[in-house]
Amino acid sequence: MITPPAAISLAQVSPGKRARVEAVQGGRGLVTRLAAFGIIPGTVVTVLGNAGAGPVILEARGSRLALGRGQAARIVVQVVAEEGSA
Amino acid sequence: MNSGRPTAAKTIRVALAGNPNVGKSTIFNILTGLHQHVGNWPGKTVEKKEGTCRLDDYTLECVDLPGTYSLTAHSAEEVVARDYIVQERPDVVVVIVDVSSIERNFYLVAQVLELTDRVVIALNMMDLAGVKGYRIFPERLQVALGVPVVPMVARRAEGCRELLQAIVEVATGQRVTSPRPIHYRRAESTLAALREVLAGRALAGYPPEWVALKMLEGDEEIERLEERALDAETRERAHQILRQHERGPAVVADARYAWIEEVLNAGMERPARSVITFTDRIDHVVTHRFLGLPILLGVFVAAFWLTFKASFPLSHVLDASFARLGEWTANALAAGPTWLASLLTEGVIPGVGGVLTFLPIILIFFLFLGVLEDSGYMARAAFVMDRIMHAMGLHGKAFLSLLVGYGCNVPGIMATRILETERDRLLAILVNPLIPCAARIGVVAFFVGAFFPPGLRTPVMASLYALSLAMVILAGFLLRQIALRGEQAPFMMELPLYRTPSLRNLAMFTGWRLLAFLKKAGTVILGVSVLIWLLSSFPVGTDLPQTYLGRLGFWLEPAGRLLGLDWRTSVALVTGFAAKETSLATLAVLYHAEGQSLAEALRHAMTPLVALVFIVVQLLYIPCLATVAVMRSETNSWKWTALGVLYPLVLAGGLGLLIFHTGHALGLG
Repeated sequence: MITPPAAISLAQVSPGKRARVEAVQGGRGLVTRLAAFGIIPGTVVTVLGNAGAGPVILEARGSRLALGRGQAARIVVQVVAEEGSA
Repeated sequence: MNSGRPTAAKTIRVALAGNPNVGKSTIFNILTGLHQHVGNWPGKTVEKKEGTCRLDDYTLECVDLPGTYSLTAHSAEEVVARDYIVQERPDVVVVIVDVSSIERNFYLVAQVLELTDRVVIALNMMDLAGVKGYRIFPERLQVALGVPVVPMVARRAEGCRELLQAIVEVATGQRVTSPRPIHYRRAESTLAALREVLAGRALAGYPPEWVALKMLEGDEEIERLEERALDAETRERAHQILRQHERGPAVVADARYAWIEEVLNAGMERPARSVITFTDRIDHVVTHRFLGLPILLGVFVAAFWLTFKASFPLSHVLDASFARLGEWTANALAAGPTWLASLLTEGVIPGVGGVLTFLPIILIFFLFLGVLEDSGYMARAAFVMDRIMHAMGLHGKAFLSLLVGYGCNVPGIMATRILETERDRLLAILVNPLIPCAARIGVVAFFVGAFFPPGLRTPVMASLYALSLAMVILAGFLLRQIALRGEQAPFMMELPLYRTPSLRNLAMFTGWRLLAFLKKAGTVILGVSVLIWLLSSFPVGTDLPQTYLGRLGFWLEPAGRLLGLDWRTSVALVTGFAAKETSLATLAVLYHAEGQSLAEALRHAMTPLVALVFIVVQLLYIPCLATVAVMRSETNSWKWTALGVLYPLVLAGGLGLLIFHTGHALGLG
């Protein structure tokens, strides 16, 4: 068995989970625009809504935003283990 | 240029900056009141608002910069905002901050402080801090930032006097600002090297430190500036430095957020994990994957239904008043020249009056939209609609412009300004005229009322709305495939906290949209009413079919006959180009018969099939004159405007043919 890679895209994170941004795979345009919404490598975001299709709702730096699925798919993240759980 | 502070001068130039939806316009309106001027930034379809206010002996000239999340060069708004700060050098820049999203809002604060140190921070929406579990200490923030910080609740006009005071103190130098420096850490050496290369070069007024920073961020405008301002050797040296720094934009952003973290840690207390708010609970339901769309449909069906219910009696009163005004005018002018009485009672009063009877519908509809916008629901509606809007090649944000179009297409097209890319704006502008505005629905409802039994009217109206929406999606899809290809703009939208709408904001939202409609009634429609009256009155002494209007009808008849329409309905469609509601007035003139209402006359003159053809054609066929004018000014292109006029004509004609001939073949006509 191959262990699945720990890094997934933000579009694959289910609601209620927290994830740390590892990288943004996109041009400078996408990188700077996401930065204006507080999403840069290192930011921990909480996914609030992800229906498996359509935009993703997330909270980043205390504000909530809707992000198109295409953009969410370009954000590489690592799910953060909840404190208290195993 | 001399950067000394004006001590003797009594005029202070102030620029208001801030993210979208932070209450910037509210503050601007409170400060300047009626002393304001709204126009466009030169060469841009970005609104420019200027106004003045006074404090003691000082006159403050305020400019409301467009709402932006950052000062990169990704949109016209961002370029306008930063060029104003750099080139016009306002005495003070006020950055307005929504404290419920303080961390993200401070990203703009950091960027403004990179450009100027004469800054005042307005901490707006202080009443929402508690909702998020924040404790904010403005004095501590002020110390940490090194510039004045003023807590405000703009909706209740709290803190305005203090804000003005702080502006004057900074402008006059009574208060010296020394902003906390941002350390770009890993990029510091690169920036120093770039600054050295740029030193002594003319950079169109931009400070070299800032140009170095923007080069590192890969700013497109600055790249163009480099090409103009720097010689090949200097550029090569700069690019050599930049090549050693791959992740420029991320490093700069990281430094700004680290700076924000320091400032906020000093000036506020935040809960370790965000608190579950009222907003979370509502969002859980209204953005639900299955419930979201039915809720949205319910909200808008209710809004439409209530609009028509509530406005009907008001429209009726207005209608009756104009009829009485007509009679009164006729009596008053009985002794005067007949042409004047005729012009007023048969041209101007029914023409303009007919339009003004739509005022209540539009007013109430925009009030509903205003409530949905100001409460925060509209952003959720855009979220829910995003997938459907994708079918027409747009994203969720374009939804609001379509909705406004249901009131009137003129403000609807202006509402496309919130879209970021030129392509998205063009597409949203081009499909907007297919949205049936209140005026068109008025004409359609009259025909449906005349030709369909009461039980069928609501389903027929609902199908017509659905038909027009299907056409919007089809047109959007085709335009995207044929004329406006290219990558779709990313969808990123803030979801603000829910809140009770404020009366002031409602008045603003409704007021200026209503104004756009009234302007149209007072200019275009007045003119066309007179024109139609002229055409239907001359040559003097002839019967209607011999007048110019009648002759126009005979010219059009062959085209109309393809759709089963007679010359009178064809003329009504032509006059409807001036303003959709004029169609009814024209029909009333052309079908005028003693002792018969217009509905009766129409039932005698056409079959239900032909009526249906007319309804569908009139629903879609052409944007009205005022809409064409706004399409031209917003696209800045005759080519796109022509396309926007012609393709609905083809679409409506095609659908009309289809319905007429199918109906005929089925033996309905």
